[in-house]
Amino acid sequence: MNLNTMIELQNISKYYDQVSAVDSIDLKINKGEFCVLVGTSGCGKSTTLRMINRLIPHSAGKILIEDQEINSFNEQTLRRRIGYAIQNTGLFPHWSVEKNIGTVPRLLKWPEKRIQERVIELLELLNLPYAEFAHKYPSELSGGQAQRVGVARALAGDPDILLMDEPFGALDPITRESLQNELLRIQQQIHKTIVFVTHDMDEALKLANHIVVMDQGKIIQQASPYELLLNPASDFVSQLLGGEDRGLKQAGLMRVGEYMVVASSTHINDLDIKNLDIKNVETNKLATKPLASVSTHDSLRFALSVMLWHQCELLTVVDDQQQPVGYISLQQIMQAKPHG
Amino acid sequence: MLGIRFDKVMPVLTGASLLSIWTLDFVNLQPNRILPGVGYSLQDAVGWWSMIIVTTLLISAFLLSFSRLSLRRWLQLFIVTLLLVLMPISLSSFAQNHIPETLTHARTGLGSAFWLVFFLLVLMLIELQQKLELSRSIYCFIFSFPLISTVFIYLMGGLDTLAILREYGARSDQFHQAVHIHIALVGGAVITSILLAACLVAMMRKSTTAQKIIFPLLNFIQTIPSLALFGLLIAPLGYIASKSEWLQAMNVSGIGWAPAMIALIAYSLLPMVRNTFVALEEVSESVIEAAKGMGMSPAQVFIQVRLPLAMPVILEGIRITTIQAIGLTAVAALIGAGGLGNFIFQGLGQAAMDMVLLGALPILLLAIIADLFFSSVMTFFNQHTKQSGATKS
Repeated sequence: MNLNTMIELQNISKYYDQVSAVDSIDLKINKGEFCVLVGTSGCGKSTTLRMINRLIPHSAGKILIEDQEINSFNEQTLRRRIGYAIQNTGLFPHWSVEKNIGTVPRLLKWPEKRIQERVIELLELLNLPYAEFAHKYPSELSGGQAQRVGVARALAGDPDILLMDEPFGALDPITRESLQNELLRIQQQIHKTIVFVTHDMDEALKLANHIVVMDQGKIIQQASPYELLLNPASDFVSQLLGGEDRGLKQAGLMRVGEYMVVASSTHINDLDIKNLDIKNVETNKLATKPLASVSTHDSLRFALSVMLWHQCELLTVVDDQQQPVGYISLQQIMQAKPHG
Repeated sequence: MLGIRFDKVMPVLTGASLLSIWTLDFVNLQPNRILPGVGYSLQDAVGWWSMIIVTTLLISAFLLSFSRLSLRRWLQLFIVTLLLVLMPISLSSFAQNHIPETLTHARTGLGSAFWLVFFLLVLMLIELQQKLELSRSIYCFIFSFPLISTVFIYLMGGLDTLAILREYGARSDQFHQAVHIHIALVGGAVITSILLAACLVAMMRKSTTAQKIIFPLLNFIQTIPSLALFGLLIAPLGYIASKSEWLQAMNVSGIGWAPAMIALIAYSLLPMVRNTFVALEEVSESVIEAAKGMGMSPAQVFIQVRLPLAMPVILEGIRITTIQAIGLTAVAALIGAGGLGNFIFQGLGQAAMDMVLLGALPILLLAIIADLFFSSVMTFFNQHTKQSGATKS
């Protein structure tokens, strides 16, 4: 057995009245991995997720967590070790935010003081000031705030595994995007093993380092986001990826910082354009001087969009302090190869 | 009109009050229990000056509805409260002026104007409370003034000649016993049906077959007229009691408390079971799933999540049941169960309306107290059980 494996599904099936919802799937999820199960509704992704914490019992096969069959644990003990966040937050409306987040620690019988410290720590992690939010009730929160509390509650017992069932599905696009970014930031700090279910391929590509595409109860393909974009296993997968649109999706995964030309800030303003394909620039009669800037964290897709908008082929790249650190040209974007 | 809309409710209520005190009898005076009474208008009863005061107050309240004064509703509230305070005082003053000491059996009956004005004033109070969005405590504070004045006048002996108090004076022991029996029957029935309903609901949540049997059965019981159900129980209970010494020792027979209690419980079960069952079933699935997913045991899910979230609707069931039982127990007097219904039926038999009131008013009061009690408990539980909150943005 691989010491690195956190969750392993061996030949797992789920039948409802002889109809299979999940059909003999095998899946290994490594420690610290962000695994996203993606597929259309009814493909069995949610069922698969809920079998991991035994909310749905599996009909056949074995599920192992750190090499131990999950049925060997007490059901409640197992679930207290696994964080769980769902689409409609499932926050308890009669409990304050603080009490909601403290649910699992209380079940684990942590001392009162440690629970409170943990709540403070988690609210801070999710950018919800303790003084303002701890004593609010779920009905007093916006959708985004409620989902943050939902995530905080899932993390409260400091579980190794976090299961998330379309947690951002009911949010508006702007809130969803900011929560996705936040989840990525948090994951960089806490390194949990996350299993995340979504029907939104963009969300999957953005968050995952391991994407599992499911259809009709079977795993169609599992790969890293880059690999999935480069080699979709079937028409179904490329359809999910948005067909021809996937060029942009791929560019969406690549960071400007990794493909730009590094230049010291003093040289940027009178840029040495020898490095560029000058002929191309001239023939197009487009701006040869960078008119706009992007940040190192932005995607190539975003950079492309900025170029289209400003009708230029060259952008200044700035760092977090808005200081220029380099530049990126259309040529470089076209030639960029993913190295995921 | 500059877009200002005037209140419609207050002018109607104050107008109706004015009309009733000017046209209807305020009180009537009976020399004794048998002889028919003589009606007195407010003016005859308490004097022309009181008529002027009351008319002026009512007209001011009427006119205030059309003013643009920001304080107008508070002024109206003051007038309404003042009038309510004055009502018992007017009765006492009537007794002093019109009933000589020698007429020891003379009794004051409340006339139609008194009842109407009282009713209209309470309506005004409710209307003003809603328009001013008064909190429960301020509302209770305002209500305490008329209450204090009534109690004060009563203690001073000003209400002694009131017919209903004369009736009470004649049979106070009986009255206290009746109140006790009434409360005991209601309390016993409600508590038993809570326990029974808990068992039935537990069965129904386990099996759909139980649901298919229990709901139609309880619905059927609810359709039987109460008097018929009381009657139907006499024969079988009488038979069973005659066979069992143990039951006889408990004073169970075809008539009396036992059939009354059984019928009350049977009627109480439907609202209790229906509300409890629906409340528990309708707790949002995502909340229950989250609770399970966190690792709560089935008992913890039920006690910490499902039950508290269902509580407001369950309490509503208990409230409906209690108020229904308070009313039904009055009918149970017909099969010898005792209680306040006794006075109603005896009074009806003797055409003594005051005695009917002696039974009916306390029943009304009990129902109001029960209602107030449960609604305040419910507001406590209701505070944070709104379940739609999470989708608000």
